[in-house]
Amino acid sequence: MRTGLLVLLGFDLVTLIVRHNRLLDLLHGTALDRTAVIAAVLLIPVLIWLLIALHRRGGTGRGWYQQLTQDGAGRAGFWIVTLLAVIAMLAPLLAPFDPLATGPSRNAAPSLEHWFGTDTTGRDLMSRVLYGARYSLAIAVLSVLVSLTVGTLVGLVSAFRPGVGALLMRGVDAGLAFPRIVLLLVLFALWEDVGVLAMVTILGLTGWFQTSRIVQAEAQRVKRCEYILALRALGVSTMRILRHHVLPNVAAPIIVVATLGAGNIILIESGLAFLGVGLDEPNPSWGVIIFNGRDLVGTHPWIATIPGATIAVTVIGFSLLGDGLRRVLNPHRV
Amino acid sequence: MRRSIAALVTMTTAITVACATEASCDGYCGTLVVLNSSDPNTVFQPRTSVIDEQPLVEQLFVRLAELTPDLETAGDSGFVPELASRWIREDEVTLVFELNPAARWHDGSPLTAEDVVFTFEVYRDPEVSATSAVLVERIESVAARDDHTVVVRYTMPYLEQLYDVAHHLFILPKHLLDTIPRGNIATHPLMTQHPIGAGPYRMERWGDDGTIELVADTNFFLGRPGIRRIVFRTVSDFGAKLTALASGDGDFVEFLGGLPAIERIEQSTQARVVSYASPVYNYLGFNFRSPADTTQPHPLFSDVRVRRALSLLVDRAAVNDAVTGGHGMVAQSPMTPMIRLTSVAIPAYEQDTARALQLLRDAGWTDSNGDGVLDRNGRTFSFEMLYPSTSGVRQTTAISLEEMFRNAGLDVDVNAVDFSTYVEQQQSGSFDTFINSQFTTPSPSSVKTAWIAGATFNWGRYHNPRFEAAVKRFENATSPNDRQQALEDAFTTMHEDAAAIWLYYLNMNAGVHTRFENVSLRPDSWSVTVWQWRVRNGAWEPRDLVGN
Amino acid sequence: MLGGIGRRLILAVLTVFLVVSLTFLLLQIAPGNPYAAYIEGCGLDPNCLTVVQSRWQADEPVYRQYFAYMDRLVHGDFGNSISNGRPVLALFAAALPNTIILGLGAMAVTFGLGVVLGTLQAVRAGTIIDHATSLITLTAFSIPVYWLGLMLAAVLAERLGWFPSLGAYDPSMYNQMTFAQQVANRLHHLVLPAISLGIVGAAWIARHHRAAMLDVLTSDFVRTAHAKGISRSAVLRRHVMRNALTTLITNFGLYVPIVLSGVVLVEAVFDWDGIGQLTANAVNRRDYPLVAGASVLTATGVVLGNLLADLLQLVADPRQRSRP
Repeated sequence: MRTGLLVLLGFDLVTLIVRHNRLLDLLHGTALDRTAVIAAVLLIPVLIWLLIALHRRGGTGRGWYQQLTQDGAGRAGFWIVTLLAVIAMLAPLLAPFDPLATGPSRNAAPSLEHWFGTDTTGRDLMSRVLYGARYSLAIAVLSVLVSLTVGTLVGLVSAFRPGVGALLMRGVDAGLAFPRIVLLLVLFALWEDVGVLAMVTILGLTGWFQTSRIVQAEAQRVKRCEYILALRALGVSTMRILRHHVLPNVAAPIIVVATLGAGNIILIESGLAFLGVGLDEPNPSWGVIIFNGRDLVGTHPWIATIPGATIAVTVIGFSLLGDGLRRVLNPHRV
Repeated sequence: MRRSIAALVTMTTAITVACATEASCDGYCGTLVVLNSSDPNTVFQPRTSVIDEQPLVEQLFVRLAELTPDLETAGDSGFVPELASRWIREDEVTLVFELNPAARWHDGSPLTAEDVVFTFEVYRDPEVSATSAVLVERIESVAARDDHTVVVRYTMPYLEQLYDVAHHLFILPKHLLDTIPRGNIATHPLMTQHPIGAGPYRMERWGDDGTIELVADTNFFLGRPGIRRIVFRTVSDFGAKLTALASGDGDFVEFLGGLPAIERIEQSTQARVVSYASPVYNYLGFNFRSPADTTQPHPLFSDVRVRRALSLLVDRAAVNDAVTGGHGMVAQSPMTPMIRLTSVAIPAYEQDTARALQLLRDAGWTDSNGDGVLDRNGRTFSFEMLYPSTSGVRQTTAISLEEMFRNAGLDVDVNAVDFSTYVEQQQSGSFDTFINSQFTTPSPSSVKTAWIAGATFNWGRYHNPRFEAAVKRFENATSPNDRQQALEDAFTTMHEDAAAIWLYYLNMNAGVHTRFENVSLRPDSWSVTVWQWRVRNGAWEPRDLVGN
Repeated sequence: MLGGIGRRLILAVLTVFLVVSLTFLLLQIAPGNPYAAYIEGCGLDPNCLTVVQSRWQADEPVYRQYFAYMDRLVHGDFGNSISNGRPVLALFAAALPNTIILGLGAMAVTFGLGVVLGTLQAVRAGTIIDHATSLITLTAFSIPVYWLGLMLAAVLAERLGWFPSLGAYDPSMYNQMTFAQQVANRLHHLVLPAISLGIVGAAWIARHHRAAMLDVLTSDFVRTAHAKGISRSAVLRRHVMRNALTTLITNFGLYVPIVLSGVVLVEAVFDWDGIGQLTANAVNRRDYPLVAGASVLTATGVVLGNLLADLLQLVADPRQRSRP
């Protein structure tokens, strides 16, 4: 497993170097945006690694991979997400055309030359969908990371500082009460030029509420545990307690929430693109491709259908993976 | 469970049967459902700002005379009578109009010459609207000789005298609006809720949700309108609008947009496509002032060599092809195909990349560090291209142009913003280039609205005294020859100055439900002829028969 | 129990207060010139702008604005919309029933379809039908809601003409219809949007209901009844509804956000004049008073909904009453 991941990482670095100029052309937006996308794509093998490491800590004898892939659903989820990550990393090598290059044959049906057909300006749809995986994954991964970080912090603070905590939790209630898509619309309206980083920030900052609740609940439970009270009486610092006892317990449920959340973010991003908000041309995010083809659903359905199907499959993958992880990563009662 | 299924089936059958019943018209029928993009706010024409307000104005109010489909704005013979049954030219600065005595306001009061005088006073009042005041500035006076005779005097002889008074003014009811302060007429309920006009249709209901229902005025002095009701319905999402038209839930969409929409309607069994000459030209505009400080010239585009170079980089045929699929026309000036220009020679730019790069080199722009982008004194040739994200057509344009510029070494930042931001940035002048479409009126003098210093739509703050002088000569011309010469001078000046990059005229296509006949669309205003449309006998839809 | 209700009420009020303050904060950060969108045709004409400018409030110190804002809210004054000058509360009140109708329609689809599928899966647990249905529900859950709406509209409305493609009712005929016809018209327009919005929830409910039904079917109680001679289907019938309702009540609070997030998109596709479209259009046009008012009112609605769900749970499940 480890060697496999190393190989993938190496591949990604190679494609970065080899296709250097193309990448810079392609990832429109500021330099920060481009860095963000590349960083996120690189992060994926690192994250998978972390998962392994985290679970090895409290190992039950059987490897997590075996447990996860025990049933068909978990296996399917894991492989869909992995395949997606691989495609995202290898997109420059796999794509037959430049996803930004317009061409003479517009709205062409899928053919041998263009496997997925072309869009309204003649760009090859398959190349755009492949590169779109980078955007979707990058945005999903990075937003989820932001949400996790903020949510965990808020949850921990709320648990260990009850006064502030009560206020924070009411804030969380308020945040959950606000319809997320409305909040996103309003926030995006305030930004004039939305790039990947802006999207990640806004999506991340609106998605941490559930995480904070989970973390707060778990942290409070652990805090009251007799074992912990004993440790604290012995003078063990709060930081150590957090690191060794709270976080491992918290990790499992929030990993599950994060995985499901990633799938949800992909749906949200495409929904926002449909409303004309967020990323826009010529970035080939899946939502933008659907937006491009939404008027042609009756006459040239493949332009909107193929990215729609891709989104569906991706979200299915994340859902199955999340469910599988939930079954596998049972919280460890200390 | 079974019972509820049975109930469901019965209800469904009942609904289906009701919808499929054969329908026929016993009296006066017909309902036209027009799909708007946004809610109309006012029908006070000098202050209309939303494009969907114009068709409302056309139905509710009348003009003195209407242009024929030829759109000949010069001279006295290109018009058909409307409120005025005939006009007599007394001398080269005076026209006398005889009004139709059968004309009535929707509240029953007779329409008199005093209403025409009142309308002129309102239009020329700069407090009401600077734009309309400019439009009628060469009319010196409008006076009532008697109840049905109006005398119009002009400040000087010129060819478009009749056009200025007949086309611009929508006659307003003096007896209702006289007592209202001029500045408040636009927001008064008589213009926003229950307007009273003398047009072929009167207001039945103006709903809170933007739905407006008009009913035909059966006593309209030119004859009873063919369709009994017109319902305006706002659908903000363009895709939903097309779907509604294609499935027969709506009857009319003014502008179908690009090729995909046209193909979709052509394939639909409910609607058909009607083409008309384009009243809009699309262009890539330059900001002649610095975005940071509008008193300073633009760092890039105040240099005519740069503007000419960019004009030479664009392959207009390719852009036209990409956007319109070859169905539109390449634009060479701020004139549109609907304007009658009798063989005016307009120079054009052809793509010539070598010459373009040479011009840029002359201006100091070269790729000194080999990174593929032109630079000068350490700064790269970078600029922003702005367009509203609501327009798919401009999006395609942006993609094509960006590629052409990028291949020549220019760094273009394409920026699609929502419509509010677009308007905002245009107004404040904080942009480099923008992709815009501009409507024209049937007269070539409409070039004044966007290319004269201080003009309402002169977003780029263009100012060329030679051009303005030529336009003035054109306006004051008293012979067709002088007119043509002045116009040629004006466009040649613009061409040499590379004022903007003219791109294309979209082939204007509207979508109409197949059951309507006698449909003709005048390019400058589609709804002028609506009162003469009819529903084909036997093709009735349920909504046609409502309230019959 | 009263203590529980009281506590929840206070929390609800506090939450609404926070939402309102947050919205005010957002309004302050918002960039200036909100009236730009209403003057398409005005160009640089100064007179044209003044009509719309008069609808936007002048500047004052922030804290005073805050108190003024709060004061107005308490009195029910949410300001006027910039795009047409009409009171925000009135616009919201006109749009809310449409969204509620859509929500109820979606709920009908969700629970109708969800319960049927869940029961089917439970009865045929482990078979091909069960697995196939699971796959279908999973897919339905993952499809973008607006894409589903687009496809339904394209096929059922445009191609086949069985249903109308937009709106909550047909304005060209509505005012002249009898009450029964009006109801029928509204129902006819409701079908496609309700299906688009409801299918996601249906998938979700199906999964939960399947689990609940399986519990019932494999319980000792059922086996005893079976031994006594009562048929399986009789037992099933008695328990299906009860379990469905329990699922509904316990999950209602979680269900509402799922619906709300889809409402904006479905309302856009079908041009449904509900609060989703009202808010989305307001945001696009920078109609800040309307955005603020709609957001506050929506959030308040959600909080109230949650409160209601909590109270229902308290009533339905006495075990929870003593919990703080």
